[in-house]
Amino acid sequence: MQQKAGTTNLTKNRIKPAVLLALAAVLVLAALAARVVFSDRKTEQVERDAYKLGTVVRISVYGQNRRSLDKAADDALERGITRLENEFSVNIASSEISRINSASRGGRQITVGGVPYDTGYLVGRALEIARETGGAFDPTVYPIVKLWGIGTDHARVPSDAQIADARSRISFGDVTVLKTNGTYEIKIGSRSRRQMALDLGGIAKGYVADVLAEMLRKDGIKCALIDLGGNIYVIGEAPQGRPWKLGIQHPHKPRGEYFGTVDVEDTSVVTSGPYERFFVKNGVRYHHIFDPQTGRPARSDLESVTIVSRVSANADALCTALFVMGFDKSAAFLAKHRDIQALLVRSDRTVFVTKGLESVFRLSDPSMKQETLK
Amino acid sequence: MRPRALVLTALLTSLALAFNIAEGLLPLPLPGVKLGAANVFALVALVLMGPRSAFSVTLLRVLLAWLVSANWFAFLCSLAGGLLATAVMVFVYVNYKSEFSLPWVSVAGAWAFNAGQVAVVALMVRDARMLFYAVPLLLIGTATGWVVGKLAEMLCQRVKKIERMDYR
Amino acid sequence: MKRGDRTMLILTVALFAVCLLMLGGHFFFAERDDLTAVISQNGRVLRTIRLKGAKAEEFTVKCAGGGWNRIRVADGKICMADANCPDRDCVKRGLLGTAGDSSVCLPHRLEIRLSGTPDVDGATY
Repeated sequence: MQQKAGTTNLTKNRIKPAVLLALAAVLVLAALAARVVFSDRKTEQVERDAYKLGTVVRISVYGQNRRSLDKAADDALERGITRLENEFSVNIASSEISRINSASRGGRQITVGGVPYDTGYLVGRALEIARETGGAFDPTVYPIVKLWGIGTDHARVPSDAQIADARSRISFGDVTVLKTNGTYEIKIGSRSRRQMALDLGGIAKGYVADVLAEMLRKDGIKCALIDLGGNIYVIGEAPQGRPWKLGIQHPHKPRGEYFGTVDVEDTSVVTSGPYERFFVKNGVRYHHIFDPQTGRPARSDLESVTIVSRVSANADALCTALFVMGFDKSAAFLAKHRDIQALLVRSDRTVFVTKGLESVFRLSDPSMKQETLK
Repeated sequence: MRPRALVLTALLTSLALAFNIAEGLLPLPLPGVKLGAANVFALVALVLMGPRSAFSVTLLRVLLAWLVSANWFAFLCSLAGGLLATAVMVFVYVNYKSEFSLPWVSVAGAWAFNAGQVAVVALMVRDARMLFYAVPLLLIGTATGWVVGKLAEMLCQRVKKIERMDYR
Repeated sequence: MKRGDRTMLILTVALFAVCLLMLGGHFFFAERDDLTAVISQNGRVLRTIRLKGAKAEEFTVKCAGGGWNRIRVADGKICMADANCPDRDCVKRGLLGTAGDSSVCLPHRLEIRLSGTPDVDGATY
């Protein structure tokens, strides 16, 4: 090969090795990459469906090891939901709540002891929220709930006298929770107030979601979606590596249709509205969110309330509370408690979002407007 | 390495790095995958200084790009693609210099670069369907490769004229 | 033009042609509205219905213990029109018409699920 002046000896003999070296390096790289990335990289999904808490419950967990996912999901279902349902449900005669309520029927100022942790804690928390919301959420509202029977086949419009009587038995101020030696004691009723009754229905699902999330996290789960009858808790990000995209139920369309979406991670989203449960009599719609003050379904200028919070129990209870409060009081409440994120749908089809949700909420119903709460 | 060669290598490496970062801003369907315009500087190094310098420029560029972006996925893609591209360009240029003009050598390099990147992506996500992305990528890479190759050719001609080149 | 250059040019043109072919093939064979509803009970698939252009129909699915669900197909959508389960959550779900939609009747272990990936990962209610 002719050598030009100033060029080095680039014969084929010296090039081939260089090229081969490069190719070999690429192959080694590819192999390394494959080894590092291949094994166990496929994300597994495990789902459990159940009929609990009076509704459809679904737990979806994602991760690498199928067996540990199965175990975590089963644990959550058994030791979480079932156990708590047996403590909280007013419809289960042997539950803690039923025990307290039947004791309360015995007379004035009853003290019930030996209340286990979850029930004791939750009743206490419910009372706190009742205080914070000026009674808009009230765990002692059961007499009214039972009277109207909304959601059962004997739903009816009670007489004014019946309503007045039931209302007289509602008073969250007359319930106290005391912690003694590892268990709780609940004092219910007073000299002037008897036959009170507790109902944790407005906060139980949220609490169960919190407990489940903690159980799953302790089991090492980093990615999961818990759906307790529409009360959603998400752990981590979606398996695709982006925030979870959750639809928010549209107040006027059938279940499953949403008016907007939120992109969230590691938090819970709860929506509440009068459309969930109601009955119609003589052309009037009576829904299930009662105003503890009036003993009747709350007359609110809100159609739907959504709360986004890391503590699902709070989200659940506040949903009810804010709906009862109505738009103005809710806006004031949210202005005071800046750590609570919410979406309020007002009767004029405007969606109000708190500042924290502005960037993650996307309205998808063109007939609605969006505004940010100050 | 003579000081001039050192300086030129450094210059070409930083230019390659700059181009690399700039192309990173272009939206492409696959993450971490680049068009490969930066490879032209390895070609310039090849022409002016030889295969070893070409590989140096490529390796240094890939490493620096990784330091800058901290994206190991893009690093692997660039490394595989870059080495393959440099190897192919060296092979073609050294053995068939008379039959290929620089722009087309650059195109050959671009093809190898994109093929290497797509192969890495397909392996990583364990999805052979990724390989289909190679076709449009190669096509655009052809255009980019040819253009920068032409620029390299003009650059090299000018440099050769200036100093009767011997940077080795 | 040098000999090698010509080869490269030919290869480039071939590449272009392949690209065009791929594009054409993609558009021609694209999944055309293949929304299918899969009805399964106890995990066993009972029926698969292609929703686009499906003729309107209604049928009942029974389950052990006297439970039943009435399923209706109309206008490219499907729904649980009625059921005798306690909460009728499945009926409340309404019409299923978008990819990934689903309605479950847990007490009767019956599920209708549409093909494709849903727009959202979950929805509150």
